[in-house]
Amino acid sequence: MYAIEMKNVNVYIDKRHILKDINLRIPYNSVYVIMGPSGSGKTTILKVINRLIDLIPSSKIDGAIYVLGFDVLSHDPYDLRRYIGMVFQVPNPFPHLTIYENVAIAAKINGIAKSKRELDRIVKWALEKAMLWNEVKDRLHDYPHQLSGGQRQRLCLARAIAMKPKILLLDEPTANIDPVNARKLEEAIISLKDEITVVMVTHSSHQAARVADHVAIIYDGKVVEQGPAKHLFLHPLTDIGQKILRGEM
Amino acid sequence: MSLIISELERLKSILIHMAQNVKNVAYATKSLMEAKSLDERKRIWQEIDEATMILDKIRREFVTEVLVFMARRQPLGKELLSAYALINIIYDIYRVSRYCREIARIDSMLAPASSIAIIQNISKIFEKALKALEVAISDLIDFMPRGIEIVNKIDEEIDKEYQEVLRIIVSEDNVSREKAIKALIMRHIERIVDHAQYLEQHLLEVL
Repeated sequence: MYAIEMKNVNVYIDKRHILKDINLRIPYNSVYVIMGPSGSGKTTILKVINRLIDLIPSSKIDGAIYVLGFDVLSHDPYDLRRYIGMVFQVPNPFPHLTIYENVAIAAKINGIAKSKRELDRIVKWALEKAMLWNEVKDRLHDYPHQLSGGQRQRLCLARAIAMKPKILLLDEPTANIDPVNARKLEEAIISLKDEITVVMVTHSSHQAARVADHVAIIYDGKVVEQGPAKHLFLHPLTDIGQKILRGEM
Repeated sequence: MSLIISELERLKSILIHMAQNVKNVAYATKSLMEAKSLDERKRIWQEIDEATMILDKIRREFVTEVLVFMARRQPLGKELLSAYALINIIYDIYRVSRYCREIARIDSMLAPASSIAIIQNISKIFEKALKALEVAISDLIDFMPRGIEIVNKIDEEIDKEYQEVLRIIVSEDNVSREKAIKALIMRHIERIVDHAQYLEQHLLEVL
């Protein structure tokens, strides 16, 4: 049983064949990293998992996708997304809500917190998990624009995990933040896997080497390599895999 | 060629250069086994001693260079395994020169009255070790363990001969000086072939 399973998945957008026969099996409670050059289809895989792909009218999917045992293509996407959190490349906290409210809103909407005390506890837990609590505990009623870019991204991570998802999708979450904040985010990601299955897209092979339990390398819409990170980072089987690890693609 | 590959090639070329020098030390050791005059032997002892000291210095600097390469370029995949192999291989090559120096030291202790040339068959046995070393260094140039079977076979033969020397020593009540010296030298020759074999194994692990 896998947290996510994709069988012969093909995605077409505007008649372009974006994903080609994708077969992936993502184990529970692991950090699964998807690597590949720009335009290879990495983000599309994430969008298929939480059905954000539906927002592209000209998209067409075939194959089978199971997330937490649900058949993704026939399941209600809104119900599906209750179990799946997502953090995007550019930090996008709600600008009109305070730090506290940004995190609390997800728990409130999903009915996870039944009391103010419980909500406070979840906000603290999520900010701690996102390695942000110590930096903001005395300024919870500040607004996101008063935070640095890296802190804003960690706030987005806290917001995503406050709704207690089973799966967390991260689309190049450190692409726009400084190295210190990137490392903090990586540590947060590693600590999350005890409770959440993490699927992360990254361009950086070294970031993947630091956080991944399993890796898939995507090239031109196809999975060219996948396997345990410990093995793949030493013994890539293909030239494309080695070039991507080398940062040449 | 990417920066990571060109730097790795540069490090490999330093290693190959060092290996050629170690091979020269081994040739000098072989000539010591056939040297006729004391003056010639003295010259060879000095040559081996100085070369081994320089090789130790190069080895230390080389390891630092590989570590800097790993820190700067952060290689992964085949390049990471290659960098790891370079560190291991330079140690194996250097150890060969150390064993040659030990053999030379035994010879110097026997001077002026005697020399290691009196040990029966020692030159022929050393020739086998030299062959294993040559094969391993030739494979190092291509970074491909093509001669691993040859080296393994020589290792088996030398191991057998060394075991036999040890067996004779432990079974005799009064061991002659010649047999004791042979056992000492055989131990070093056996280790030289071991390091040639390790070199091949490191190359194999990169593949």
